Amino acid sequence: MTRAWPVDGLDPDAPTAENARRILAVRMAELFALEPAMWLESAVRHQHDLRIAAKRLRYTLELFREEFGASGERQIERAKALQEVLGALHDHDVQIKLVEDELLRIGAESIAALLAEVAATAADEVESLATTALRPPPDDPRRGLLALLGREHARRRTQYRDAQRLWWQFADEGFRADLTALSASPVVAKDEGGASG
Amino acid sequence: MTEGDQTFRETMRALIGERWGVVWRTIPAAADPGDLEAVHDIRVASRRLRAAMDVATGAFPAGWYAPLHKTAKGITAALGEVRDRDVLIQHLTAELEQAPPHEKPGIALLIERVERQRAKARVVMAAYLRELTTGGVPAETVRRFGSAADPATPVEATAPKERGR
Repeated sequence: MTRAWPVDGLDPDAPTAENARRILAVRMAELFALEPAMWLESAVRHQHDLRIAAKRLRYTLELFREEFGASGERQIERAKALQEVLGALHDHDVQIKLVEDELLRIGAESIAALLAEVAATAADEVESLATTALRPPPDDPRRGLLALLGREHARRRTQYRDAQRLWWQFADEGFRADLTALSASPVVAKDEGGASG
Repeated sequence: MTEGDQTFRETMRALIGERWGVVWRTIPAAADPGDLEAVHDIRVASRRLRAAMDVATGAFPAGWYAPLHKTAKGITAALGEVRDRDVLIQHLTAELEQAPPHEKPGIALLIERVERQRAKARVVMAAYLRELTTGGVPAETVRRFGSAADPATPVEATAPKERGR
């Protein structure tokens, strides 16, 4: 997991709203810097980072919800939706890794046992040993694990497409522009003496 | 400066206090191994606390703030091992129920392994939370961030409890 981008220039004695906008600008930049993760299905680590960035963005919006008002609420909903769809994607990645590790462990254990048996078996009996070893029994746990692995990969593909669709939907709706508007300083009316021209 | 235009330091002191209060109130439920949501709730509460503390490091003296900030991070990490396995077991159990007979041995094997890992992780988590709540940290959070950090403060006097990832 990548560390949160630092937020420079915060002033503890300035009004909360000023600092909140500065923090939001950084959290937003952090999120959109990871956008390429949505273009490549195999960018697993970056998709995970994008999920964390969406979470940080959501928490920032929630932390200062009084400052960000109604538009902030809409952005919270979007950040939450992204976080959830990317969270489900991450869950599949964790499950895939778990099943793969188990399969590798079982495979290593069974080949180690076979090697020991071969070492202790007469040469003319090895062929029969190999025939048995290479034909796993019906209750071999690897059958279920391989089937589960196949399902998890299929679910991940579907989930990735869902995440991608949601990302493009929010892009079309102007998510980035809405966040930019929230993070920008409010327009201050020019005072009479300061205006030129 | 108006009431609605507090300084960042004042706002963060109040927000961080509220979030410590939520963490302290949420922890006791995690003692029940059957309450899977309790661990999740503490994790979410600690993440929200971290989100507030992460951005307020420059607003308070590092001498006392940094150790509390580190503790907030530690709470999230301490519960992660248990929570991750709770989620896996829930998912795998659902898979086991749906699987045809020839697939069940493999899934059952995996559940057993994750359950063993979870049992170990729960022992570590329980020891961590016990030490955390019986040491001086709760009192220190009240001292630094006010009564909102006190677990005895009524919930309605602080921010509403939020759930989520």
